[in-house]
Amino acid sequence: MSEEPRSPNADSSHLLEVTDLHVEFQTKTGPSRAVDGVSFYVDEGESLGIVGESGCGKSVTAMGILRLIASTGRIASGSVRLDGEELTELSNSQMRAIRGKKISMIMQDPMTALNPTFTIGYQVGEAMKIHEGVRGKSLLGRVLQLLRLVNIPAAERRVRDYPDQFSGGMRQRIAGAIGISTTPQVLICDEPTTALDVTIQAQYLELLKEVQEQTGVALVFITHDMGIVARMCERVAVMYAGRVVESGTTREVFRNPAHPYTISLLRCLPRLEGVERLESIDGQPPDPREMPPGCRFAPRCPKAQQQCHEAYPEFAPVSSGHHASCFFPGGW
Amino acid sequence: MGRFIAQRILHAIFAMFVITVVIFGTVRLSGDPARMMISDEAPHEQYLEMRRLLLLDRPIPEQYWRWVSQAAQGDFGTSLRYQIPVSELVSTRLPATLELAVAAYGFTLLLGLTIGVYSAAFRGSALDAGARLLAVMGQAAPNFWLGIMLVLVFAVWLNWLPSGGRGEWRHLVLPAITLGWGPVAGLMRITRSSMIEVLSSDYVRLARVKGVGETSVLWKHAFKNGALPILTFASLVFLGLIRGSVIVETVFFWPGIGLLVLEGVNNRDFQLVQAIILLFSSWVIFGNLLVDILYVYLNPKIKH
Amino acid sequence: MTTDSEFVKAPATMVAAPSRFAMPILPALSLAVMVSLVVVALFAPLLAPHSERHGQLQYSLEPPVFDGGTIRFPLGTDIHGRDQLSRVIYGARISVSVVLVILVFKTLIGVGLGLVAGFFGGILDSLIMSTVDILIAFPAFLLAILMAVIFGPSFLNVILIITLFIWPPTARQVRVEVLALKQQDFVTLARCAGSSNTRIMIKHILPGVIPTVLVITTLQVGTVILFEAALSFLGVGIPPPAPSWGGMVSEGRAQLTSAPWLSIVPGFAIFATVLATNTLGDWLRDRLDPRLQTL
Repeated sequence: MSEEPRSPNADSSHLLEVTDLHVEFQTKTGPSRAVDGVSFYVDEGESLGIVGESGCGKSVTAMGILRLIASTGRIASGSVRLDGEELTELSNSQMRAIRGKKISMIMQDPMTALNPTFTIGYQVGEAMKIHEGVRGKSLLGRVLQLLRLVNIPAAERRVRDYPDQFSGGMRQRIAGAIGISTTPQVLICDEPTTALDVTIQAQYLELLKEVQEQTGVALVFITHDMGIVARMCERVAVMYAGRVVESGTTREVFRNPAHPYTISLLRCLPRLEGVERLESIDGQPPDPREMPPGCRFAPRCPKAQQQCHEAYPEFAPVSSGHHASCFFPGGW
Repeated sequence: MGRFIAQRILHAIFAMFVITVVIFGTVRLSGDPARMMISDEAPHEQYLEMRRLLLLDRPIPEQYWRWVSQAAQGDFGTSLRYQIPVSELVSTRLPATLELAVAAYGFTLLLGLTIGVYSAAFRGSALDAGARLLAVMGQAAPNFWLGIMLVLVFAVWLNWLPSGGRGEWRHLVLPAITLGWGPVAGLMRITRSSMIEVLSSDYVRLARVKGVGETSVLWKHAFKNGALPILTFASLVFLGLIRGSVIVETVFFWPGIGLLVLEGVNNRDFQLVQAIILLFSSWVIFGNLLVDILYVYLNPKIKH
Repeated sequence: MTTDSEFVKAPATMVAAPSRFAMPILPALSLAVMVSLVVVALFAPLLAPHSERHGQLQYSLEPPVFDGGTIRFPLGTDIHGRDQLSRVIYGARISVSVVLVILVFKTLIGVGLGLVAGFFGGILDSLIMSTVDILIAFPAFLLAILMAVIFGPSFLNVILIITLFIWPPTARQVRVEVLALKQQDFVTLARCAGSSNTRIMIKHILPGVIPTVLVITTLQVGTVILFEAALSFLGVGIPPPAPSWGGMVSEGRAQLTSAPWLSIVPGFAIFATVLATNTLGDWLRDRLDPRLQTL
């Protein structure tokens, strides 16, 4: 695969930069802020992990970047810049030219992410057909090349098969092939391995890493699994109740976690190669329509003080390049 | 799969048997056809002659068997009123009914599928609400009244289209809309609900992520997956159109089979009526059978 | 800012569940329409300003009051000089009684046979269910026309014919419910306590099928009205001079150009009634038995 020449960064130093993003859904009981002021960035060739429980807004953030939010929702404010270009201001057709070309995505569940009524060859080739106008023999060639890259055996024969003729692991690799088919600048991986068993999971992550080394694609991992972050990402952003509560380099955050929520997430990591104990966090995240006035984690936080229930802690530096929203960072 | 189809075929044959018995029995209950064929002053010998001719002197099962076996060979007897073979009458009227049914079906598909797909795509929007309203109103309006109202507006008041009869395409517009209108609501609902299911699937999201255009997302990626229940319903709709044709042909003086059966009813021409109802019934029953088989054949879930 | 449509669904917790029995405006309005229809039907002789059967020829084809007519005949008159308002009022009587009688009949037959089929199973079940299947596959409207002609158009025949074709869906649905209810613990308990079959069916199973029956029955009101109207329109339903709405549309059609209101008004009465009952039925279905969605 050849690397696309990239336009010079206009007024941003990062490849993808999300600033103060707000996404709102209309509900019968009023608007609900699923994403409430999220900021992060990712650079070329880099991997960022966005971590949090389901419902914390991480998937909505990803969809917000792609501007694919349900008709009941909208991006209320904030900016998403790709290569200096403001995505929130593009027309729908301009945005479509970016989707699948500059930003691509791998879905969580390989069993449902492929369309059962099209051959996998068609599905792998579709984005190249749309964005690069490749047709016929040369398209088939590119599709086969991709299928071989993701280790689909007998690709020539299987290109005309339908998804239900493949195993789960192969389907996920095919989904990966679709994600990288147009050599995007940013590839969002939404829980890309939760549906796979452990060995296949490891192979798959390895494959993504190889692709990244070859193409310089920036990877954004949306996950609840700190293990994947530790293995794949240089930097991590922890989300809770629609906001980023801690961010920094993976090494720093893992070594000196500042936010109690991050600490609980790290405790959920299975230790000693797997099965010793899984500690889950008590309680439920708050209802996005009725956010607590203070720190949103305070109702579940074992160390919460009066102060925590009254004001939202500023997102402040803990050490260089490491920020957290907590009045009592780390020291406990 | 084979067992299911065999079961459906047996069921259809049994239904045909029951329906022939019902039609035969109902018509026999109507009185003595021989009496109606001859004048009241005719001598008794002539009456007996007519009974022999109509096989009315034979045992009932034999009469039934003769009627059914002749019908199976396309011989439906002679129309009491027109004095020509019923099969001839029917075949001269059939093209008109088919023409109307096909035009109406086109209207139903066009409107039902389009509105269904787009109200699923824009769920909760004004378009969706409007479509729902249209569906509810469409189901409540009796088709004969709808037809008359269309005539009133477009033929009487605006004078744009003819009020009845068969001829050039302008004659076809109002009857086709009237006949096609009823099933639009149902088709729209089915299309909407199966599209909503498909549209929230991951593979449709993935198509959007790839940058596939909205029209292609809807009609190619999504529709192909939602098509099975829609197709099944759509084929049943076509069978149902034949039933509606009696009313619509009456309203628009459309010279098809529906109008013929009503003329037969008014003239007490039972040979004719019984033949047409038998024809319509077998059309519905074997059409249903065909849809069942097609469904099994197309549905991968049942096939595997 | 614009977004392309459907993508991320709002989390389930964000969608407020509608309260179970709060009645929104449309179903409430529909119920009001139905209740007033029944009232009109009951008190037709008091409400109708003129006779519905006898006209005065000197007042033939008077226009309605909104089309230059007088208040004496608010909805105009037909060719025989009969007051259309009075005829529509008495027509409500016909519609209401046709619907009530048919629905009582079909509920008795449908619930009875459905209960028996579901409860006892076996030969009885197969027999009842194949009858149901065949009747549903029948081209009902055509057979109805044939029967109406042969047995002669009359109130009673219309009732019998429509009932014949309208009970099967009830029986089928009741049977499904009974099959589920039969497995419930309280039925086993009752059986252990020595209750008879009849007692179990009536005391323990029948109450469980009532919501389903209620939904189907409400939704079938429209079907019955349209069925009767279509038969009467073709001249094989309720015979004239009784003012059946369907028959009135048919009679009025001859004067479509000179007196369009004669076709508009009775047809609109059918339309409004069916619209109201369908709206109420849809609402009831969503509330009581969402599984019946495909009905």
